[in-house]
Amino acid sequence: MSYQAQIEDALNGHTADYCDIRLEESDSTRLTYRGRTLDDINMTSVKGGAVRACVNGSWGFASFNDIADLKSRVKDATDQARSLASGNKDEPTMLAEIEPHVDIVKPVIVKDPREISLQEKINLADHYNDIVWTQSGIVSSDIIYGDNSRKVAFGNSDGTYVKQEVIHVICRISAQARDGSDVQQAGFSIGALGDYGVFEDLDDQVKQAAKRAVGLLKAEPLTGGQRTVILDPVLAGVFVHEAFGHLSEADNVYENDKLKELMYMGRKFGGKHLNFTDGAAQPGMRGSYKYDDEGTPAALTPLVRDGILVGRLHSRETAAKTDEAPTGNARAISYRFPPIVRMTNTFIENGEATFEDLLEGVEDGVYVKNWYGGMTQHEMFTFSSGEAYMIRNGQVQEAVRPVMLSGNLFETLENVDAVANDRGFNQGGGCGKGGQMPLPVGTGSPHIRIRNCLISGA
Amino acid sequence: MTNHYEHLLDLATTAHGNAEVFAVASERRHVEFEANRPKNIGQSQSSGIALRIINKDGRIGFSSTSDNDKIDELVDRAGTLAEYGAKAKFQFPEASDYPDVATSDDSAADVSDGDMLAFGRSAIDAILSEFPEALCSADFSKSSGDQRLRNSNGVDAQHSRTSCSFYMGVELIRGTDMLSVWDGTVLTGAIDEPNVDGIVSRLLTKLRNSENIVDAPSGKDVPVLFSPVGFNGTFLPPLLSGFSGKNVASGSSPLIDRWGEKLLDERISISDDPLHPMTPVARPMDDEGIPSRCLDFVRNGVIGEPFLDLQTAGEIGESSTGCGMRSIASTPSPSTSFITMSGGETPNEAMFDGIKQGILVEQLLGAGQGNELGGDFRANLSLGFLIEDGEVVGRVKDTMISGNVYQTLNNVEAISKDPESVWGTRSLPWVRTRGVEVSTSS
Repeated sequence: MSYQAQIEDALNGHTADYCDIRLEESDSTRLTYRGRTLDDINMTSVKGGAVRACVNGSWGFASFNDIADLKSRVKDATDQARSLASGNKDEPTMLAEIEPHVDIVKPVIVKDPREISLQEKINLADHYNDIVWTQSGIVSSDIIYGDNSRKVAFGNSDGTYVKQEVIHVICRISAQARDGSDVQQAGFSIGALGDYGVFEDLDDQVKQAAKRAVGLLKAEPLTGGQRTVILDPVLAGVFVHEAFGHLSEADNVYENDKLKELMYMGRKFGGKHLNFTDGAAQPGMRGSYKYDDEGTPAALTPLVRDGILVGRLHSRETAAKTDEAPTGNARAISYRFPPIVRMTNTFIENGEATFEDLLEGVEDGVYVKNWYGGMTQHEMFTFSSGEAYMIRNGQVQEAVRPVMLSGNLFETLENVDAVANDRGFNQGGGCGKGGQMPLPVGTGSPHIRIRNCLISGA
Repeated sequence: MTNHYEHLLDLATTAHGNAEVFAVASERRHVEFEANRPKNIGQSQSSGIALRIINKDGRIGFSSTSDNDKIDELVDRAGTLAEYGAKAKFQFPEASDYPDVATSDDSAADVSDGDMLAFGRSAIDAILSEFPEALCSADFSKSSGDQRLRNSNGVDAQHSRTSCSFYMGVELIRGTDMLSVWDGTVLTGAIDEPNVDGIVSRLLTKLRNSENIVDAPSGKDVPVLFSPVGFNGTFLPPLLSGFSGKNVASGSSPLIDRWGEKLLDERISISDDPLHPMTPVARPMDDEGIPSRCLDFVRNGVIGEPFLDLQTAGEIGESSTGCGMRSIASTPSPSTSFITMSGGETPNEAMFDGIKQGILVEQLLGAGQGNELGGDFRANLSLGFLIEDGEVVGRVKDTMISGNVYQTLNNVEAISKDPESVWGTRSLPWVRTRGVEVSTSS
């Protein structure tokens, strides 16, 4: 029986207010180098499914590897939802209306990683590792290459059926240098949707990373405190993801009246040069897709326009409960998890300044590039640079040790005083939320400048 | 599971000579509360099987699947990958005797959905009675699982595991200040009323201490007190990265050539004890079939030994320390279990005494983004407090801490007498230090 027939058959006669089924198959290849050796080659195939049922606003969920008896899984999830709903029988199930549709979505393929032999992938990774090790002073290196193809069949009790396939390629390369007990590292992460080509032609980047790692041993650490910082497009993308994106996820807001009062539509967060957008409908990025994991069509959602809050990201439930339009942001990392509200590709739109304009007049600041990580807890966020350089008298000067930056939504966005017009994209990131990690996301931003940004000591 | 299991090992051994099959099956049931109300209830069943071989050229091949229809493909796939694989620096172990350690408890299975709902409700009610404007979330779950490891040298090791966990978070918004505190634990057996009461009472203390927001002092001379949870988040990741067999074998650990040297304060002793009974990470053997034993990482400030799996041990010419752990989709890698740190001299309640002005570190935001390999730590305090004259006087915000574990743990003022459980997988004392850099936006 086809997945479509299996799903339709299992949903037939269900007794929940709403029910959906996801069946998933994925195949992954992963190469992991530790130092000079190819430490691990892993090919994994996964198959499994999940059922969700909603009764009076309460959800039952079941995930499993054996997809043979879907009908009884539907019953289990429905019974669980019903038992939970016994305390709130008057509450209606609220889900935003989506016109039922049937669609088969072919994967985006630029250069298919499945058609590249394992030998060729290994040869290329070996080549990059050789480049790292030609740099004197390197004591270790890490290279991770991964590709994954994931097919998901989704059907719900509204009559929607969608089958989608996505192919991802990721790579992280880092080099470590050591001087006694001082260990420094530098590297980069990249990724692409359906394109093995992203892993090719990295010689220069690899060479630079190895050189930076050794250079960091001599770089001075900064003292902690507030400074003017200029973020490159990569780190500014992480900034918008952490500083604003997470609080745009409506599951934080829809049952939280106090937060709703703070995050009201029309609230001003900064100057007119601030324009933020999120959306999976932006083609060809790692956060791109045609339908989310509830079968809702992807959109491009303006979050901030001219410094003012104008939108947020939704699942069908959060859209219905806030009376806003669904945006197609319900995503699950795999069949083991229910979909939750997530970002996709998050952007800062271009401003009018040039990079030189941003530097002008900065007497004592830091130019921070490349990302190492980031995290958000409500209005507080932190993110870390992979590189940092002093700015004096408007000139980028010597490298210093990478820094961690920290901020507060209600203050830091006000302090973004200039946005350049040179937007660049980054697709090497993975986002974590509710135990679901790493979810493929993309970011894009021009250079931005932040005044009085809190930097940790190093 | 048994049929596939026997069959796969035989096929793989015939084809490649040396083989190892690892299989797991587990079930989890959980109830989630959101915004003070039950919201989701769920169950997950998962199973998978992984094959690792050492081929005739001595190279490792690995493949895994959760798809029963693809099990027969594993033998060929692992064989193909082995042609490119790393040289095995070990042989699969032979059968041995394993220590006795309790890893499961029948009481966990008896916890019903109704119990989980009732505990969640009563915990939320207790918070709301004192902080009616709070929004609570909670996650109660119980799990059980079996794993079995067999290899072509005669190991056939299996054990079962049960656990119950309860996590709770409370959110409180005042103006543009959003406070978020959380607590929880994992046990091998059932979670009972005293466990839940303990979690609620710790949450209430954090909420009470956060009523006022105050300015933090900055600089490197501020005494900084780490709660057991704060100590865990700040120091263990950078410290343990130095002991990891991966980093030792690859040459990036700062502890290479420093074994046996005194690098930390002499009152500091830290061990990894997989034989500590009834913890959710207890195990008689690791996932490669090596008997578990207790490892001393630091004994009276002196650096002990790294944690190794078979491959990393082989690379540095040592024996595995029984620390090869894995998920179904990955090859084993060195990993710790139950980390314990010995208590010191100071009674727990006296740890605040004598602090004229200092910081208490509870929860961190963004730890692990720095240069952990070098022992550096830095983070934003997502929950930190100002201590004045030995009392908590309010919460500090927009405050970061940074330092290096090898320097800070040589600058210890006091260690509390009684270690406390952290997330059910650590036992750690309170620790008061000097020399941590505190940065603020004020």
